[in-house]
Amino acid sequence: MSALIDLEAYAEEVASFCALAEAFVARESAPALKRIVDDLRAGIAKGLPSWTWSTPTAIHFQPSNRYDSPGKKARSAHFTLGFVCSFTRPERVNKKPGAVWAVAHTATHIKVERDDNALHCLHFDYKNAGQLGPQLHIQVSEADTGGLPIPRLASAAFLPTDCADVMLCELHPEAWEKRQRAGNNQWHVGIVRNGQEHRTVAYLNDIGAQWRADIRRTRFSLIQAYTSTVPSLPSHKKELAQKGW
Amino acid sequence: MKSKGDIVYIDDEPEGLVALAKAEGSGQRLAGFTPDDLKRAAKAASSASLWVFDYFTVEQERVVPTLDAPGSSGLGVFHQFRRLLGEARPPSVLVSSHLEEAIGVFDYTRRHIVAEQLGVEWVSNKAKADEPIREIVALADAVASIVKAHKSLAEVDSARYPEAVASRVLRLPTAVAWNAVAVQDIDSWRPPATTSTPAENKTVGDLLLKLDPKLKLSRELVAWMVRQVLPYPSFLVRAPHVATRLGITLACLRSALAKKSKLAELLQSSLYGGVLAGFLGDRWWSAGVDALAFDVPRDAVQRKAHLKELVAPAALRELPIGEWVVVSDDELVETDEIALVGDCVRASDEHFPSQAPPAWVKIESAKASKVLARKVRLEDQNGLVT
Repeated sequence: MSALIDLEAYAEEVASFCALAEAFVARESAPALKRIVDDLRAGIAKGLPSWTWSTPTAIHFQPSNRYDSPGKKARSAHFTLGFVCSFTRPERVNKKPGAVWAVAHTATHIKVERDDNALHCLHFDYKNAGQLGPQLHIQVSEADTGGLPIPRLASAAFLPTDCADVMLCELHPEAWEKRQRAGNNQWHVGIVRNGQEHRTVAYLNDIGAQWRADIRRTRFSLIQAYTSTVPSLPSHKKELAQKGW
Repeated sequence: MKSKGDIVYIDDEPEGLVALAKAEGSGQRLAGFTPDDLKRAAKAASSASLWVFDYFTVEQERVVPTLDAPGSSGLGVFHQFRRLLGEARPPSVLVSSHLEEAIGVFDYTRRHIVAEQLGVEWVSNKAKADEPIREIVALADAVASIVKAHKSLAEVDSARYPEAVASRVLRLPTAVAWNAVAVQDIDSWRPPATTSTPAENKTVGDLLLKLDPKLKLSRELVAWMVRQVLPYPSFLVRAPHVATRLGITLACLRSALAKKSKLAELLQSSLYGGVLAGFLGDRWWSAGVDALAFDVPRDAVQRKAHLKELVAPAALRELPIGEWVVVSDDELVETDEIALVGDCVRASDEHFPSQAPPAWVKIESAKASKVLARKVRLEDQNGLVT
């Protein structure tokens, strides 16, 4: 089920995330990083009934050899990130529309490349209506699995900034943590942290409610088949997306 | 605030600039005074929109700096006026036909920096034909415009202040979808939010001066515009930024604007028309340009068709696929050149406002200049290694 999202609030979160992540983005992708913030704001301002926010070109992140590679010296690797997020206006809008849309579809594509040309592609998806698998999931690209779309693994991350956060942790574990802990970044960290917490808790509570309601399934199989009934994603301010209703 | 004689001009020979102003149709704006007539000048200065001081008020001092007695430069007069009127004073402009003799060698394209260092708002070269008069009149007009809006700026709630500055001073169009985004952008550039000075009369000797409480905010807003907003890509951007965001060459953009294309029509609402419009060249609202760029299709075939329709009857010249940036020169001043991001690195210096994005400079330029190389950001230094 699609959830409502206050995109103006999320745009604040995106701007804060980009301010934190800027140091990890390759120079060649610096204009693209700025553009995703500008495009999101422009899309919100236009107020179209349905529209897409996406990366025209994938964003390249800085390489790292400080990722987890036990027993071996890690070779330099980097990841690129691209996404497509589609939003539609909720059906009932009584007043002049605010910045509230329904998440129709999101897919964030990650490509991890190592300097010896080893390549790995995966994507974070928001399940479409009628699709099997967890509402929020990661899967390895079907091109890498001989066309096999499974397994889909439950994920807490689905919005592009959440996915970038996950990948930065994987490839730049120490530097990304240091960046977040730096004193003068606390304002940005706070906004991103709160946004992630409120969204994730909404989904966890929803899963918990479904667990309690359905006693004829195992917990993990319910997660694996989880379809969200979260009507509205709380923003970093913990406000539910209700503006304009 | 009257417009006749609203520009107080101090010069040992004011006739030259006054004559130039007359030729430009602004003769009645300039009230010229010599250094012998400072009391009358001070009285006029208390209600002026702008003060203009010629640096060399004694010709002899231009030839040889004097060590026999305190010098009598226009800056000295400025400081006396500043002491008289305090914060209730308009912006000031330092002029000279011999600027480098006066204040040393400096980059004229970054004169907003040297102006700030000298304590004035602007510096202009009297030898540059009609440029000083245009600039002086534009600055005085800006002050007059802000003074008119002063009441609404002073009384508005703090939450609505950026919006008030946007609409009253910067003339942000209200009936555009991107209005709220532009207001946010303006707020992120921290417009001055000073309150008024007390309205009072001041007596100095036999001089009665009427202090105008509206001048402080006017001066600070003008200073903000010329020192921060206009010299850097802010909520207002230059034509090369418009071109790169749309994915067309600058020549194509200029041709489309000249030929009254659909693009020219669509960009009209984004063309900046507030105070100091055109002062350092045309600017466009960044939020408005983003709104236009948002509609450009991602698919190559659709994009070409869309842009072709936009720029017609001008011929479409698309930028090749890639990330394009506006290049700055060795002094970190934006040029009209655009280049692929891979050929550039990011640089800034101590004068950049914290909210300004870094300048993009060509790698080859940074490699050729040690000074420029040191201004390149640390994370881009590896781009300079051969």
